[in-house]
Amino acid sequence: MKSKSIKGKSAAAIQQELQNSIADGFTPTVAIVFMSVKQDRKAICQIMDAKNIAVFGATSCGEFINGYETEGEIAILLLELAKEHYSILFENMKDGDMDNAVSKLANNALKQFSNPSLIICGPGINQKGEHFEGEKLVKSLEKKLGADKLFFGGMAGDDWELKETFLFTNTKESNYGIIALALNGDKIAMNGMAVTGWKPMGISRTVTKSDDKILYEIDGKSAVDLYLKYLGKADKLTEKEFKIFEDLAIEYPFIVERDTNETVIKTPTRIDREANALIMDNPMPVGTKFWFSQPPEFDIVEEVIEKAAQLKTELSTEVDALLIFSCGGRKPILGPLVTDENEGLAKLWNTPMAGFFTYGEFGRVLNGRQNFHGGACCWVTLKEKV
Amino acid sequence: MNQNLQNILDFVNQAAQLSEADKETLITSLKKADKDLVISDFKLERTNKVKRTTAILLEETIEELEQKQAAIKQTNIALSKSLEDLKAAQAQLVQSEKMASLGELTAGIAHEIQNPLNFVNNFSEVSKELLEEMLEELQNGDTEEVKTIANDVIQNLEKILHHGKRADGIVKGMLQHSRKNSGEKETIDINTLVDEYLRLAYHGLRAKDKSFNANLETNYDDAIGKINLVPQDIGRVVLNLITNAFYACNEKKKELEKESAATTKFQPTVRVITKKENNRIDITVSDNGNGIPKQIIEKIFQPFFTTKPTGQGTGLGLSLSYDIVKAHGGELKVETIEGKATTFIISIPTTI
Repeated sequence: MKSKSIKGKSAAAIQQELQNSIADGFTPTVAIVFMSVKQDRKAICQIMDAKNIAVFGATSCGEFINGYETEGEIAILLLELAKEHYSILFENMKDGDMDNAVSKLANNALKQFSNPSLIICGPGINQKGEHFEGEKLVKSLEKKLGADKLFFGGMAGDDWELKETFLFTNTKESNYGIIALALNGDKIAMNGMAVTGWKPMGISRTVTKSDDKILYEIDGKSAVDLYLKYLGKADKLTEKEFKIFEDLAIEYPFIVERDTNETVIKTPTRIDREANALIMDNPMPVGTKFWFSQPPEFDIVEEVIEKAAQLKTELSTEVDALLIFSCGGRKPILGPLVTDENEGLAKLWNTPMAGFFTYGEFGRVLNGRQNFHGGACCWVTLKEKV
Repeated sequence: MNQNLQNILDFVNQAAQLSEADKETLITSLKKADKDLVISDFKLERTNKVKRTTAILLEETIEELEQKQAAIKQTNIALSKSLEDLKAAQAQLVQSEKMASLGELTAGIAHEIQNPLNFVNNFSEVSKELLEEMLEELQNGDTEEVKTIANDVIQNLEKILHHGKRADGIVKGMLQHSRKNSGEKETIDINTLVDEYLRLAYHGLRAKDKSFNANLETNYDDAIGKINLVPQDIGRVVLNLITNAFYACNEKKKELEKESAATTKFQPTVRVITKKENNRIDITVSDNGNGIPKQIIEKIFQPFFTTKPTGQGTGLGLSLSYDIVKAHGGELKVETIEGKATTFIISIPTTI
């Protein structure tokens, strides 16, 4: 399977880049598009329509291809996939029934292929303007597809506006939907990994009072007081304008214990002053054990690349394309190193790459099960089996 | 780009004396240096920030842990106090149980003392009459008769002494039973001890309930000899088991009478057997009561477990008995057939 990655500051630039890429006879059938909400999605879809290219699109929070990392622009991975090996599936969750939408999408994938593998994107923001509960989507999809099926992906972004994200195909678009590139797993091999790098700090904590995503108490103390005090922001307790997500939580989320000895990053998104509670991005049931965290060390880039190199050695094969779903939070935390991380992966696999900064990631840690992640670098390679 | 590097870059770009290849090499190096500088600056800034935050978090955590440690210390002190209170309460309970079993004995003891007292009174009265008679004979000068009467008085006084000692023994036994346990072992005849408590328990019940009647079957192994043990403790176990046995078969009798509304043919029977088996002795107490239901058999040795109506049992009897037998290095076992019979076996090593 041939592939190429292109980028551009506008639809016109993409038109030109596409033209250049097909000049050598390259005939892409699928375009995986990651673009800023500021860009013209319809124009991009029309350009792809004109070339009979199926669009799998998600808005981003910064996007990148080999050698380029941008904000507010467009990054595309073009794939020359045989029509019979893929299907682009789209479900709207406008009615709020995520389970139903996931069920339909999973059934369609299973109808198309006996062993489907999915690249999947969900919304970053839900209908209430809050963070979308990616954990529920992953659990639901794993249940419907079967635990052995692979899927990797991320949650759409909106350049940190945190208002509205979009998923789109050539003909459909939704601010609250699910999009999947369903691949015939028997023909297209998919391998990938999710790595976070956040480390537990201090002692283990327990949620003692919560209601879904509303976290009231930790170890019997006010969650707001404890969190701000312990992270040196006690002076912000009364400051109504304090943006907890941007100014603190993105860097110091919680590391939450979950089944199968794995952990997941969960992040306070805002403070409900009236209830004196933290509003989390994902539910934190009573009894949940977690730690405060410290951001990844600088050697996280080497760790990500080393683990990928190990997998590459085990697989002992070249790949046709690389997709990276990197948490938007990694950018402010890892600074210029995040570019090294993405570039390092592209260099290791030596293949066309595209990716975007997400509001949540779907994938598997090394030898782990299918899971939702936060703060992760989640990458996946595609390889057509000969 | 860093201003100093930018100056160098501008200089390189304008330097006519440099070849294009050299310029490119220098510019590449400058860009690389700028990137490294950006990364270093970032690392420095973030390291400082993370260091600050980590220090605060660790300080707060340490303070919290210190508070928790202090709280745990306080809790420990409170726990120790509670433990002491608990031990004191347990000691009181043990003493109460002892006194409760003494209560059960009282009626039996009264019965047992009554007999020697009767003898003492009767023989004293007879002796008084004999001595009055002897005085008359002395006045009559019949020395032969005086001698005969004196011999009768001596015999009577011997009998009075014998029964007085018997009453004394019973009172001493009662005091021994109720006094605080010194835990000291004594060499005693187990058959005598068992028989004494059997009779005391039986007469005690009879005194409380005139209608109570039961067959007492005993089979004491004479080969047992004397055993070294804490007599008031083992006595308490024997008394507890025998009292329970009487209670069980009496209850069955009452139930049967209630059912048939007439006198039943059922005859309450309590059997007490002692036996020497190699290096141990077994004291078996059996009754033909209703047995113990399967669902509670596991609980009967638990403290405060009782099937008796509220106020009639402390629920400590079997629990204490179990502990006493265990303290003697033995075992207290139970065998039961629901609706038919129960047997408790005290098994104590002879080498204790």
